[in-house]
Amino acid sequence: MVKIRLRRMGAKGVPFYRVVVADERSPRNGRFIEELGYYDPTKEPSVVKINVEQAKKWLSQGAQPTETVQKLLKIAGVQ
Amino acid sequence: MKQVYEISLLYDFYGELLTPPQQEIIRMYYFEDLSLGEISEARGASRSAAHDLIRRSVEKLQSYEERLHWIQWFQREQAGIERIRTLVEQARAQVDHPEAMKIVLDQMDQQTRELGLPVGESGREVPDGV
Repeated sequence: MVKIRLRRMGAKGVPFYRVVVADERSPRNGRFIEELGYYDPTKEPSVVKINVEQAKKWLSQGAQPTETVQKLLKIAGVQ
Repeated sequence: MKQVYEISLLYDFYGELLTPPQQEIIRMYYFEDLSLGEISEARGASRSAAHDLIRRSVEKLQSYEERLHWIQWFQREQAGIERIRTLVEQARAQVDHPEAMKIVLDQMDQQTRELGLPVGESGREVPDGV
């Protein structure tokens, strides 16, 4: 199954998070299929940037977003 | 969403004080966004064991911040540095106006002084013998 997950990036004290499409079977090797956007909570207000078209495409193909990503997709107007 | 950010900061500052399994599970849950099911499968333990370990690790991180205030200090310093950067820009714009420049420099001086002050229970007496 393909999942849409958050992945933490950034430096110490200044994290940001990529929203990535990744294969469920290899969640921990850092590889991902596609980057859909990012979430930057260090900005005030937080910045959520998602490629809505691509996200919809992956969802329609059965990709499963995690709970956290679901919240971001909602903010971005995908779901 | 805010919780992921808060835990990330806590981990950045105090993560090394956790045991290796505690560090690992925080990274899995908050940085790799794995579900409890995926974590318990990877660890060969139950979901409730994974959940308990996450909860205890987060509580430990929070207890360090409550006592040490490093994040509070860091964020205040970052905000102070940002204000000083703004003042530097203002100073550049006042190169030909010494009086205005002096006001900006005084503000900068004030900001740098505030950066060095302790956070949290300031003013507490130093124990005897220290």
